[in-house]
Parts: sequence; C-alpha cells; structure tokens
Amino acid sequence: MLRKAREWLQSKVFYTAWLVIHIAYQLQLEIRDFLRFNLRYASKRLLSCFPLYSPQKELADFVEEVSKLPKVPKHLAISVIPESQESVLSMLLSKLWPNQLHSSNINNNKKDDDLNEINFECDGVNLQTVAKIVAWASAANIPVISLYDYNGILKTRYKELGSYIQEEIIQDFWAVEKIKGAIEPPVVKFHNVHKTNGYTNGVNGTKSRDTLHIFVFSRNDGKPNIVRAVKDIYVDKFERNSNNPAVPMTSEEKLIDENTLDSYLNRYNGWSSHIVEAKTEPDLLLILGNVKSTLGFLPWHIRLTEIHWLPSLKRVEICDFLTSFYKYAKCQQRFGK
Amino acid sequence: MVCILKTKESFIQKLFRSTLQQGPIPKHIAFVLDGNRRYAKERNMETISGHRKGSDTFEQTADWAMLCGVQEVTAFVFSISNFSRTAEEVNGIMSLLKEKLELKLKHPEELEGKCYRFIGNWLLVPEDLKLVISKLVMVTKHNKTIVINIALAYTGRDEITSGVNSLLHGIRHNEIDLNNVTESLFEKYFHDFPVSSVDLFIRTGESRLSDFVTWECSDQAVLCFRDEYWPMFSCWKFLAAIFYFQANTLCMSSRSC
Repeated sequence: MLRKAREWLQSKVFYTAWLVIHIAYQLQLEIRDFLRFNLRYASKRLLSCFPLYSPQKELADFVEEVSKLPKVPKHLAISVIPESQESVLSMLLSKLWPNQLHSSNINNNKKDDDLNEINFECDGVNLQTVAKIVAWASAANIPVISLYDYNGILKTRYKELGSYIQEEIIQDFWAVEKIKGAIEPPVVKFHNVHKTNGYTNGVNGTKSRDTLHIFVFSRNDGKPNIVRAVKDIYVDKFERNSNNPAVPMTSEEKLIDENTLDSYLNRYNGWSSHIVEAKTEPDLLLILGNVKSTLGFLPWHIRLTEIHWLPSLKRVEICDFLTSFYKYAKCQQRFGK
Repeated sequence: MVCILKTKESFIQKLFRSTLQQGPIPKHIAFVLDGNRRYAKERNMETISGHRKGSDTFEQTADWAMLCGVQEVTAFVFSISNFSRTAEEVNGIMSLLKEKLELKLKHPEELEGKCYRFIGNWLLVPEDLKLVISKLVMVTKHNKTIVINIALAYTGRDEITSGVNSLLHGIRHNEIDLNNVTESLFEKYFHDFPVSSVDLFIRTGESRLSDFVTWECSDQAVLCFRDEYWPMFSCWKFLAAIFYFQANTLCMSSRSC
C-alpha cells in the first residue's frame, strides 16, 4: 500500500512538473510574440512621425535588399493557418484544476480522421492580409506562388482574393517602380481554379509580359490526388488499352515510373508547360502560424522544399519575409551529392 | 523483458524523461541523419569517420527512444540520390553498414526488443548487404518493444511510385476493386509490412524533408529542424525534441476553430 501511495505521489509530482514546464514554455512564447509585435508596432508609429519613413519606403527597401541576395525562390508556397480560438496556455492552465490528462486523451494516432476531429473548419483567414503577402512576393520578383490552406477556404474564395491581390500589387507597384524599372504591374493569373474563358481579373493573362502565376491548394490536392492518379492511370493504361500486348503483366515489372506519376499530378494541379520561370516544386514553403507541420501540403511536390515558419497571418510583417529570404539564400542544396 | 542498452542515462536525464512521459510520446519518429560529412570536415577527420560517428549516434538515439516508449523509429541512412557520390564514399558507407549489422548479429543480446526492418528500393542494395539485412530482419522479426526501420536506397517518391505499381498490379489481378482504392489502402501497398504515419520528424542541419517519408509525415507530423550536425545529436537534444513535439501537439489540438 505504501508503494502504491508512493507511486501515486510520484505520478502527481511528475505530472505537475510536466504542466509547469509546458506552461512556462507557452508563456515565454506568448510574451515574446506579444513583445515583438507591439514593439514593432510602437516603433512604426514613432517612425511615421518622420517624413522619410512610410510603408512604401519599407517595401522599396525590402525589394532592394532582396535584389542583392544571391538566391531568391522562384516558386514560393505560402501555407495559411487559421487563428485558434483557444490559446494553449489557457488550455494548460485549465488542466491544473482538475487533472484532465487522461480525459483529454490527446490522440497520437495521426490519421486523417483525427484532423477532422480537431476541426480546422473555421473561416479564420483574412484575405486582405494574404493578398498583401502575395504582393510582397510579387514585388520581390517571384513569378510563381502556391497558396495553401487545409480546408480550401482560399480556393473557394479565390475571386475575392484575386481582386485584393491585384489591388495590392497595383498599389505597391508605384512604390517600387524606380527599383524594378517595370513598365506596368504584373497580371495575376490563377491556374488551378474554375475560370471563365481563360481571363483572370478582366485581363487575358497570356498576353501580358509579366504574369504572376498563382496556384491555390487545399488538403484535397495532396494525398487524394495521388489516389486519384492511381485510378486514372489504371483506366488509361488498361481499360482504354485492353488489347495492348505491350502492357506488362508480371508483378516485378514497373507499370509506371516517377515521371508518369509526376505528369498526372502536375496536370491535376493545373501546371502549364508555358510556365518556364519556375519548377513545379516550390523552392520555399512559408507556414504562417505556429503549427510545425505541413498539414497535408502536396507530399509529392514538397521533397526538396525549404520549410520556414513565420508569425501568424495576423502578425506577420515584411521584415519576417525578408529574414526568411536571407535564410533561404544561405541554404545549400546538395541533392544527395 | 530486459533490454540491454548501450546508452547511459544520467539521473537528471532520467528525471526529465520521466517528466516528459506524463505527456504524449510520439509513436513514430523519423530521423534524417544529415551532417556527418560536414562534422568530419570541421574536425579534419575522414568522411567515413563522420559516418561512423553518425551511426553510433543513431544507435544511442534508438536506445533513448526505446526508453521513452517510442514504438517505431525510421532512419534515413542512404538516399537513391546518394549513389551519385563518389564510388569510394558509397562503398565506404555500404561497408560500414554491413559491418555494423554483422556486429549486431554477433551480439543477439543487444537486439532484445528491437525489430529491424528495411525500407527502400531493394533492387539497388548491394548483394552482400542484402544477405546481412535479410538475416537481421528474420532474427528480429518477433521483437516487439521498438521497430527500427532502416531507409536504404530510399526516396519518398520512389516509395510512392512503388506503391502505385503494386496497387495497379493488384487491381489488374482482381485482388482489389478500383473503386475501393483509398489513402489507407494505398499506403498498405508501399511495403510488405505496415509503416505507421510519422508523429515527429527530426532533421539535423537543414530545413527540408529531402524526399524522406513525405507521404507518412504529410498530415500531422511535427517537424523539428535542428541546426547541429547529426553526430552531435545528444540525449538532451532528443529529450528537447520530445518536449517540442508535446508543445506543438498541444498547439495543434488547441485549434478548435
């Protein structure tokens, strides 16, 4: 009995210690986030009193700095995480009274069904902020941008998003005109969404010299598309060619190779052979939010992609963007060699 | 079952581990063992010595994982793209791996509780290594404490493509109905044995997946990118990664929008 009491006490002590270290960790994260955001806000308010400072100048400085970098991503992916309604800190504090460790039952079985239970269904995505970030990327001469959110909110509202993006690009264009020397702002062209008559935002994207290619993805474009490819490949290879004696039958022989699967997936993604400025795989993935996971982003296309985390959509600033580009410029890709 | 571990744990490490075990422990951890050559270069060592040190570090890490209650670990030992390295280096790594695996077979007491498996393109593995791997897999197949997957001649894309080919053969031979193909059925065709989805992905040196378990860690794996080189990965860094996993799991579960 003494042993059981000792074990019970030990487990209580360890559990309390566990809660305390996690509470301390989350607290320091929130304090750091709060201080960083508010100090920046305060310094911007202070600087705005001076005539030489403006958000446009900040953007122009950003463009100038990026132009000096030895390496800039040509295909940038941005994963948007909706804001959470409950902070981790408050959740941990609520565990102190009473003990909810076993009843909370944090499930480590990381199957897709569990993501539905976690419920990423809210529409907590500010499209104007997303548009601003896309405009920064465009100002940095990035020709291809992939936008991602788990639930497909961006895909559903791409028209609204497109309008915001075009507004931001035009607004920013005049701020950076002198540095870039461009004659007109780029046209925004969405690729893998339902379009009408090939026009985007009222302009025929194929005629413009500078085009910003945008792809919009959700979780359904990842693993489900690979499964879809299996079915389509089977139909194309067997059901349409049922009398083709060249199709191998033994299990040792390969029916398809990586290039075949790649071509099917790129077709589903709306990738056009006309896009020569960048590869189908993003060079850099920026995840906006404190979720250290790709959350289903295109597993086939992410193999060599650099992955960085930025503050959430609500708090991300252009200087965070620049810091990420500095880090990207320093990274080395050895491709196995 | 008593498992003989090479790793020694200090009292404070044991205390911290016991504390961490009050929270969720990742069931499956994937490791990219990057930085062996740069580690060796910085210390004026031969490249193979860096790989040897990296191999020792992985053995220790597997022991720490077992102590923490991790059920499965997967190590990215050699990529298909690594065959483009010099023949000397490739042969050196294969010889080192063969030597290490043969040593394990000579000391079966060290294999207690550990189930070794191989994932990768078997056709690309050297013949002499195939024999040793097969023996190790057979000898340890009934062990249940921890599964150790060795990813050799492996890439994520090759794994997915191989799964597609296996599935297509299965459909062609009427083993499966085309309409019943789902994600969970598809991933069963990657290998001859089940590989669970990754909960924690630890990579030293860089911030990318490098075509490793891209399918398995797609949904909710916590990605932990560390700056140090793999041979410098210590017990404290491993425990820090577990802590990081717990903090981020809490973060993900709090997103109840």
